[in-house]
Amino acid sequence: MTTVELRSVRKTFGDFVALHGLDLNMTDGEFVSFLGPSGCGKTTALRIVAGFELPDGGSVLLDGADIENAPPNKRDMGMVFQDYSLFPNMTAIENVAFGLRVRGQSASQMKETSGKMIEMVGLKGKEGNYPHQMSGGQQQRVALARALAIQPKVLLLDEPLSALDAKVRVSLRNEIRVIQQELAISTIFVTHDQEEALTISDRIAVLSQGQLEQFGTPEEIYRHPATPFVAAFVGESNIFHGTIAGTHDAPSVRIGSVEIPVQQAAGRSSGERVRVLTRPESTYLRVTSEGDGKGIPATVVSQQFQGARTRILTHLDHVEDPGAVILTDVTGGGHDHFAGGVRVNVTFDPATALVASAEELESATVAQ
Amino acid sequence: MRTRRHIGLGTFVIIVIVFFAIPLISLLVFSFTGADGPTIDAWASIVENPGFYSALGLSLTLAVLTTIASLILMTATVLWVHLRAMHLRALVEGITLLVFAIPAITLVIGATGLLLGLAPWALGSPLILVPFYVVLSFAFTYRALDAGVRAMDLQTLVDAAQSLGAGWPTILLRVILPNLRTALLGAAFLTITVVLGEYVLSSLFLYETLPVFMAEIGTAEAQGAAALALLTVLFTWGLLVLVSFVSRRLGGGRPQMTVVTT
Amino acid sequence: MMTRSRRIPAWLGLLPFFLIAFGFLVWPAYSVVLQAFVDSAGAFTLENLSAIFQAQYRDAFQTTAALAFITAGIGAIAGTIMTYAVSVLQRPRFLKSAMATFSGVASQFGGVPLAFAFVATIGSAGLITTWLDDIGFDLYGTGFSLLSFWGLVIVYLYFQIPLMMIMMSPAIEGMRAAWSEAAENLGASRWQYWRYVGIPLLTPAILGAFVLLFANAFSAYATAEVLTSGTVNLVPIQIGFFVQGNVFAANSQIGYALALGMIFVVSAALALNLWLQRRVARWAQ
Repeated sequence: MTTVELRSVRKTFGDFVALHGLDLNMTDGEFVSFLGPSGCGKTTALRIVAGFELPDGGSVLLDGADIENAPPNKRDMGMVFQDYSLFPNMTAIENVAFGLRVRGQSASQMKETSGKMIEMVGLKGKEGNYPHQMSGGQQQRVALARALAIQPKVLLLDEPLSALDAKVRVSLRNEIRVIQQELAISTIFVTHDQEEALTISDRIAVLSQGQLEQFGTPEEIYRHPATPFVAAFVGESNIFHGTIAGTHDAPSVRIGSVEIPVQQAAGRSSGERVRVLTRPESTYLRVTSEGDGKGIPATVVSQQFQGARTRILTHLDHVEDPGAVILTDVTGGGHDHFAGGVRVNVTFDPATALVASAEELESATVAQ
Repeated sequence: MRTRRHIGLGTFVIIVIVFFAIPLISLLVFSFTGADGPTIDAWASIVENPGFYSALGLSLTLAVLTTIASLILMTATVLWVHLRAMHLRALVEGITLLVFAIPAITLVIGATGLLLGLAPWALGSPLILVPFYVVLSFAFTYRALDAGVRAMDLQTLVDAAQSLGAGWPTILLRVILPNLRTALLGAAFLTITVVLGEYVLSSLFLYETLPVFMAEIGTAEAQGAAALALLTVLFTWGLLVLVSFVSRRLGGGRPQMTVVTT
Repeated sequence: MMTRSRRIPAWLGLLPFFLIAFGFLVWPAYSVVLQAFVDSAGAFTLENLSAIFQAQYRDAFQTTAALAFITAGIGAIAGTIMTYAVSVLQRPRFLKSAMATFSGVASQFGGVPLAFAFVATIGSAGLITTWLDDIGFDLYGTGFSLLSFWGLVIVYLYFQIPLMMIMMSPAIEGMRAAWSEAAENLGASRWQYWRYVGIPLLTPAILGAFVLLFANAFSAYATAEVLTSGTVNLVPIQIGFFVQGNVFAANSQIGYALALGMIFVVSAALALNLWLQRRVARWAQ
């Protein structure tokens, strides 16, 4: 039963501002991911919570109490590091028991608890192995067991899967989530992999250049990105170039020679050059000869059958760069009518399309 | 909490640095010390001593000869190993490390015994020292050149050069040696340093090299010896620092600098 | 020098190397081994060997071993702490690279110049001696002398410590920050970290380096000869006497036995170091 709160946490390293005043409130038993590209401040924030860095401003509260003065070894948090942090001179079970040993537990207690932990992470039978005798995935499981053995209030994971193979990454992240839910332990998970974050988190904090871009559930982040950065970083987006048109009450964007009503275009000045971002699954195609002519004229370039879905690449008429394509995802296969060369009209869901100015999007994508 | 530890460690570091600095400062001051205050008498007497020039000449000659011989021999050996005899690499490396198992003083007693018995005339010329010095330089010269060759992917470069029509002299001069510059310089400087400071063999073979000369005048003129020691230190340390500097500029790692020849 | 012909066998190109190595290293060494078991007439004998276990020669081995052990011990401890300190202290920024260059250079500082550097410092007319005298402390009055066993200990430390720093640097740098942070996170104090993780990990490296330092000091000749020229009974010095012919023993072959003994000690040390290195390699990922 632990809540973690960050209040206006600031951190600078020399001239570089790593965190600009971070505010975050986690509820008890929640799995929160800190998501963002390298240098965004996510690891710094985690290390401040763990106590390895001291904030230059703001505070960290555990269950409402400020823990600034508590050194890392007194914070009762379990941490899993990115790079194998297992003590090389100890076996798996000795590693797991380490936290218990420094707490002065008896040998039998240590044996029982660490044995249970090893089993929980699925490594029964490997207790006597040394780190260099184990694979990367196994080592991280031991690291997890070790962190959980001390029954910490909070579990901290610093990109624990980044150094592992793709397949191991997927299976291990699910295991971590299952264990976390079983133990109902408040968890902070740092990652730069948005798919990872989307899959296993209760909520995601998206960070960029030391700022919190959005804090919400995976669905909120994906469906309703609050900033261009979030839209560009999480999932894939189509980017339409256009200018603001329409009226105050009926905002729209002129793309090419077509005007499309877009709710998010409200509040911008007429004529302003903008970008419209849509998800491939919210972008639609209609074969021109069969449709009502509404939408941006385009030609199909190719199809990619990807098993559960088919991705159709189209090139908008008015766009000069032949390599710039719009992606549309449709379910299943058998979409032969969208063959290469077919003339189509492109539309998108006006409710979920995001509008950003050219500069906003520039800085968002450059940050990646 | 962290700063308290740092103060303790920092103090220790300073004490050690002082321990290392004092003898050097003493050398400097001592060499200018006279009965009635600072004087350059010690330095003057060195410069006026003909023995100094012959000792210096001998040491420098030996250093140059050894360096040339060692570089040619070891470069050829390292290149050959990498191009044609990789399976013998462990053996060659083992031999270069053998020098550490046979301390110089034991080498001397074995060598003098052999030479006196088989070729006493050889002991008549200081040049006999050169092959022994080359042997002493094996370990670090081999290591430096081996590292240099490994860093340059020799076989690929040679293959590329040959496919472009180059003959061996060209390959050697224009492809291989330029890429070994750092290693060669490092090995050369180290060899020079070692030869200039070598005492065991030269004193027991009865040749008056610079260190032997230094030891001799040391009994009568401690200040003069200190002056010479200072010169030696400045020169060799200058060379070694130059090695670090040059290797950093030219790229390609720093040469291994552990030599065990006291 | 190197022809393209495939008919040149591999070993042939290495012939010059093998010849030099053989003629000026292997053969003299072999000669030492041989002569140690032979008397002046050329007949096989174990007398030379038995002689070195007696009287002044046994004493020489003991003194040399003591000198090597003490300087290696102090050098190992001081060198390790120094390497660790330089690694931990972030300021001044140039400290680490300055120390790296210095230790590379100072470990070379031996023989004659080193001897005179200390004569200039704590010799009977040395700088520190005089300074201590000025403030009322008679150094040589206490019985201390640079030209003695303990004088040599101090001098040897000048190259032993830097040598240790060079050897420990990779091991210390290899200690991942994640280990000490993980330990701290799990509740360990600094002392507990060192006791359970740090020291066990560094011990093979420290021991290996200690052994090399021992071998280094054991075989040193020049500094001891220049400073003490025989007043301190050391094996290298004794061997030197035999080479110079300054020996009053009836048996001139004893020198070879001494040399063989020294080769044995040094080789044993090197072998020990190799074995310990292999244990270090296990942690290195």
